[in-house]
Amino acid sequence: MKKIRPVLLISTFIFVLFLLSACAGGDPTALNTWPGVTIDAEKQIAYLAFGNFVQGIDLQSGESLWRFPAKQERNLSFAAPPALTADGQLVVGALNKIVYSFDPNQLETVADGDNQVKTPAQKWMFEGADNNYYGGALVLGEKVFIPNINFILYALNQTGQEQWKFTAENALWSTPATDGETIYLGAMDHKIYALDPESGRTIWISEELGGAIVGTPTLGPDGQLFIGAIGSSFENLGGDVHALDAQTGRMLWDQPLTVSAWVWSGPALQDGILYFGDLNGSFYAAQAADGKIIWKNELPAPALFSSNPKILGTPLILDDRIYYGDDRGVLRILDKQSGEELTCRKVQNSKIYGPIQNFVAPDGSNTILVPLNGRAETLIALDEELGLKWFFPFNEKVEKDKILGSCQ
Amino acid sequence: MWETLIIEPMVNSLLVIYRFLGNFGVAIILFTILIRLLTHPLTAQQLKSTHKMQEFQKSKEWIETQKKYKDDKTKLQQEQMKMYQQMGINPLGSCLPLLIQFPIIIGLYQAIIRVLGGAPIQLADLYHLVYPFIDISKLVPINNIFLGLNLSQPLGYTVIGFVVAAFVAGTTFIQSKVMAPPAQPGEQGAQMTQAMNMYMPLLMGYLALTFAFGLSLYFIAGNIISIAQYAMMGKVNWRNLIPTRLKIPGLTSSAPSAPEPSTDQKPEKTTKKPSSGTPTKKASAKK
Repeated sequence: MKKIRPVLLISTFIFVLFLLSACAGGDPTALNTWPGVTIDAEKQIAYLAFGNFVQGIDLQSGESLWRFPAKQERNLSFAAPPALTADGQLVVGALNKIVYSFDPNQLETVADGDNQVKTPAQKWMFEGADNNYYGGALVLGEKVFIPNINFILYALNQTGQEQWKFTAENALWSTPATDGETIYLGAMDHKIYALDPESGRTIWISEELGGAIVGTPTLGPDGQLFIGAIGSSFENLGGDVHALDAQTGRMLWDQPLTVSAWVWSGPALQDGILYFGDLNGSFYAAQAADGKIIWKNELPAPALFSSNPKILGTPLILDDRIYYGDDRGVLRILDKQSGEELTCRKVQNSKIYGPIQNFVAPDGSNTILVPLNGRAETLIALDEELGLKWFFPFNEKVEKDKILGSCQ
Repeated sequence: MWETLIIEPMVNSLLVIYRFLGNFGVAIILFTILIRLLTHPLTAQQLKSTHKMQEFQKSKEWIETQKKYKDDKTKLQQEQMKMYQQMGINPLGSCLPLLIQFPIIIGLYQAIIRVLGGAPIQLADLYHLVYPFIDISKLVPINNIFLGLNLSQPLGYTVIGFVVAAFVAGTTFIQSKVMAPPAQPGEQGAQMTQAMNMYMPLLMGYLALTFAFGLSLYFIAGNIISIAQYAMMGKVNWRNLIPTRLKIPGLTSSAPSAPEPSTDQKPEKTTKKPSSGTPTKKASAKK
């Protein structure tokens, strides 16, 4: 018995370690981000970066075409949306401090256990950063600009050589925006930076915007820049939307549009109207010219010990409708003119954080892509009425009819 | 309800402390001290009850009662309850305060993780936890750097990661050793306690390597504060830290029939006396 006891104790200890490693294994930050999705309309492929792989998905069928890397690698996970370069490379920053480039047109077949897996050929890696990438890369001409949470924006050429780097005052979480001549970079230091893409020279720095910037700025047709902030100078727990002159960084409105909760992403813009949600589940339409709210769709006050769902992703505007999701997995369609809710559906056991995107097929039909957290399925494709077209990854054991349910 | 009653007050307290100090590492340490001060009456109560229970288990009456009713478990339990009443012992007195403290410790752990907000979903989830009177926009992003290390990320299998893990494991080991109550000869729990004293530091060291550095800081601060707390109450057995030689059967002069006690958990009388250094004398003192 005395000999058995130490063996038993050691076995128990190893078992506990095993269980704990299941909770903490890999990079824990991978669990705290959402899938990054990029659409290649020409090839009709969605590039999905999440978990241990970047995957190519057929937009018509939802089938997996390839994955990168071929085999799961410990401590390698992705969340930033991949960027497609002019010469056909896919560039994506990972949660292991490395930027990967690979060619989805050049597929190899690799054995992974008993399976044969198609994987794109790797072109290069950039290992110059000492921290992870949450934001996606921006491609402009022959350069790739990629933000890191180490406060640095790296400018790389198409072979992964560093051209220049720019250091902000705090972390960079979002993909930069560009009008083709200037790069606009939102930072956690509450500021927007306008940079020259050739040299990295600072063209202007915005004033303090009242809160951290975690979304990508939205560019207007008349040289405006719209951005949400997770914070406000005017209201505790409030959020602001700011309008800046893209040429000078000057504030365009007398004061920012302040709402009652943080505004995570850049707003969607159409016909001079901004559409955005906040972290209290409210959704707004506001005039881009002066920041005046046109309508607001507000959820009822939450029950005791509860809170409203959070809207993080930039919404999708499709004809006269607005599509958005929240962190309770509810997808809603609002009427663009009135803000009235037209319909909603709930993705069971899921959360929706990322932006909703649309793919227009050659026959003109729309496919609405929704990235998911919380389910084995990380991407679903819907029709305009929120009917499920396909889900990814496909699993024959999953009943398609049970993925979407009533939102009430 | 858990979030409203436990997590939210802790998150906001942490944020308030951070606002005044501007350093989240120091805020974690200070907040851990505050929580331990607030739960000190519970700790003291637990210790008092444990002490009473130990006295009871050492008492001649109880040992004799055990011998008397060794074949009648029901009668033994009845007598035990009677004796508890006579001596004013609440059998749950030592575990109830511990049970009350448990959610507080778990809450503290969760609050630290959430306030660190080192990743997008963590930061978004922080929103609903913050009270309206706190101007969170001025505090975000939280300055996660303490002693040049990022509090929100695991240090991993690096040199500094192993150094911090060693600190966590070391303070856990010291804490468990010096706070270990004196075990009774033959007490079944003694061997389990000894095993826990061995494995717990290893487990905590492993967690320190895997989880965010902020939690390692909390573990270290918590361990040191616990030791200080027990020391102030005069309940620390520093002698438990001194390795003792394994007892060799045959060298023990007394109580040959008594079950062998664990080497690091001596009865209080022995540990408080200057050690003579001989296993024989220590063994004698136990009786």
